[in-house]
Amino acid sequence: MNPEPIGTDPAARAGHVGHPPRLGFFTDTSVCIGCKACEVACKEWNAVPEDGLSLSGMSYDNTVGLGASTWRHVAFIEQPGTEQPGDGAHGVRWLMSSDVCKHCTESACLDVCPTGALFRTEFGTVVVQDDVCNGCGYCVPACPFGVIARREEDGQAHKCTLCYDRLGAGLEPACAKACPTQSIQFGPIDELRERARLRVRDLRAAGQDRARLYLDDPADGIGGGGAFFLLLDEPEVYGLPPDPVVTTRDLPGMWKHAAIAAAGLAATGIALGLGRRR
Amino acid sequence: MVPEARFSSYYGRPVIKEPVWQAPDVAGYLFFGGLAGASSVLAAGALLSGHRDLARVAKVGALGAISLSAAALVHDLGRPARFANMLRVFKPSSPMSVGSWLLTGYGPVAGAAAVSELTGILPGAGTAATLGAGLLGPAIATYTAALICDTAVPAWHAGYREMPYVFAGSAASAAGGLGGAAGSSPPCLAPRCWRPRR
Repeated sequence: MNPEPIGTDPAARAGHVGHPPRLGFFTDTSVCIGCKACEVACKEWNAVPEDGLSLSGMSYDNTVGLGASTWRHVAFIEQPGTEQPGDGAHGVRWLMSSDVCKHCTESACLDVCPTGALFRTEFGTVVVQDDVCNGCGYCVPACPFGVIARREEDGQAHKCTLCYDRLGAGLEPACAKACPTQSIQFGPIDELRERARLRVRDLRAAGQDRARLYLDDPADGIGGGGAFFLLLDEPEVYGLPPDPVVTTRDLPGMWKHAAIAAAGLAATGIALGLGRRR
Repeated sequence: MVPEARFSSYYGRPVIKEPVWQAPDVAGYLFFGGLAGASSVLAAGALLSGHRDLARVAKVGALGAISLSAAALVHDLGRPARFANMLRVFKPSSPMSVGSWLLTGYGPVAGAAAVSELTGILPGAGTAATLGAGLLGPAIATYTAALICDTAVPAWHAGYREMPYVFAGSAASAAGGLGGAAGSSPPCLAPRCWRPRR
């Protein structure tokens, strides 16, 4: 078995004994062609309902963002006036990226879920149990990436499952299978991280000095992502937070201050109790 | 010279998702929960110092408020029929889980205190329930601060050190206001009014 330190082995921390290696995504946006096969494959496999058929005016992105009924979202960014090697004519640089749930090592949505509907699987992924979720909506503002949302039709929270049903059968997730350029790579996390490091090194050597990895580092604010990315610009350009931190990190301080405030309130009751009727 | 800060975004869209909680439901849940918790504290103190009228108002007020608070919470769920799923697990990492269990303990106790007061049945049990509700009251009034701060919403999260005092203070004012509005004269908290030791 993989003797990873407990800080990077969320499945073990969740109580899985003898679990398989942690699986995840490495999304190499430098080879994404914006075909959206990942969006289609995901919706087809998971029977995710249609959630909007309008034109957004955001380049080729009419999906707009992740949500309860969009678990893969391809972003399009046009940057005029740039001069990176290998870009097309007319000085416009085109960035394309398939966004997805990050399956955080330290997952805020999982931490705040009061029903236990959200749970950590043996593969280290985070999944919502549809028969348990009562739609309290706490996970929605907890996610620092704005991934999970509540679906209006059934009142419950939904998000990418990393095709938990396919993993159990030894298959790769639908989006990874459909991706024609291997932009979405699936496999054991350490293998993906190693591949990503080599790829970034090659890109920088070829002159892409803004190429970087995002959420690959277990020392970051979410303990690293089960799904991490190679970006060609700052995270904000793609709509991603530059330095996400799981809200649970500050929870001990929150309880401490709540306890002090509660003690203060109790003191008023005691002060009243010490008095006597006039 | 410090270079000009550049801010980029994805077509001006916010990064995190807006909370789905509806304003009247969640505001009612927070306000009435605080009112209930602080009313129970007031009721316990009033009981011990012999302020019968204030204790009565505060006990009944606590039951009424916590009922409204729980109703608002259940109404705001996407699947209200599954509200009991909150009690499948106990997760200290989730203020909503901690709060659900607190409410489960506090609700019946506050109810027993109010019912005993109104009907006169089992006054001994009523006194115990009043004191029990008074012990749980401070937690009921402040856990909601941890709840809204334990999110990625920047304004809420950044205020986590101050929020519990805002919630406790607001709860105390509301409970005091209810006591006053119901006609109780304000108790004397000055040292000259403290009971002498025997």
